[in-house]
Amino acid sequence: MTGTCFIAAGQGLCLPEKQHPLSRMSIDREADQIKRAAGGDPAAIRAIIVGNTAQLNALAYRMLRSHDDAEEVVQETFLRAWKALPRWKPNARLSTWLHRVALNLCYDRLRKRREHVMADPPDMVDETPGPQGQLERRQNIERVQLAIAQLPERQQVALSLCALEGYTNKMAAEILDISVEAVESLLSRGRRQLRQILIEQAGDLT
Amino acid sequence: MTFMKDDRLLEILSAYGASPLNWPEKERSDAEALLAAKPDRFADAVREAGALDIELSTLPNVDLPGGLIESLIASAPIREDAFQTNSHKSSGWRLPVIGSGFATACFSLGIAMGYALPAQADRNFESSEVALAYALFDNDFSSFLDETDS
Repeated sequence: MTGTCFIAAGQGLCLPEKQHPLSRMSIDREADQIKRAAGGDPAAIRAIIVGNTAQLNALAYRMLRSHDDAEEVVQETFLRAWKALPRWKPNARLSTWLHRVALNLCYDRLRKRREHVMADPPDMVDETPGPQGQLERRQNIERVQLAIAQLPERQQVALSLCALEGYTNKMAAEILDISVEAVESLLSRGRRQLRQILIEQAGDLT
Repeated sequence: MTFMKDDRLLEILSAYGASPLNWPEKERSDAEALLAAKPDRFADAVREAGALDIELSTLPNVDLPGGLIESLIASAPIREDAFQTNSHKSSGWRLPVIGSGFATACFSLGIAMGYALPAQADRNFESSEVALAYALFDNDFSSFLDETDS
């Protein structure tokens, strides 16, 4: 596994290194790809879909904690992209724009959830019974997910992008359309608040 | 020798956690040097940030739903003739165009033969001529011949 390891709280932890579409392609090459996709070129369209879907889906899932909702957000994002591509101006990277659209769709859904009593809550984790260790792991995942969900939305996004999905602060700043310093502030406040929530839940962190 | 101030490293630990991989790339080497120079000064901050990193690391990667990419491609506005207007041609998309050209040629040939053959041959000759013409294109058009013979 590529990535880096460190020791914290007496435990070794290795984090994988992730690649993101924002860092891969030159602006010129992307502009050419967008032009071809706008003309219906199947290869260009496929490249845009394959190059962005996993990241968009991960971000949407982190925000919505529902696989179905995340999938719908990704589909809606691309539908909007196909409409927008013929009028595309290369002021921003397509990946950045796609992330922004997906995020706005996530915000809309989160707002609707708050406005309406939900008949079906988001699928937090699989509740299938299993061995004790597996059950504890699931409960732990749910505990952390619920704690993140209590953060303000912008802090959730910053944490999801930088701490969970491996985006750089610069990429997160582009997506959120704020400065790198503002991203750092969101991260700092988000981590502090998350730590507080987890401590209140469990009494202490691991 | 590092030019980073203690407060800046504390800010980095607070925002990005204890893993240098997540620290801003431009400041990473300075931050690591400062941490190595004063481990005791930052021990508490590293421990605190690392504990939260471990909590966050329990969250699994988000798997891509099976079939999502195919579904997205199926709903995309792909133009079958797009390869004619761009430089990135995909051989897979030539087939429908070649097929339609071939169908046009066959249709024209059929019309021409329809005028020519009845005047010079009996029904069997007509069938064998048409079969020969279709055979030149290496395709099986037996269903059309069956209709002609019935």
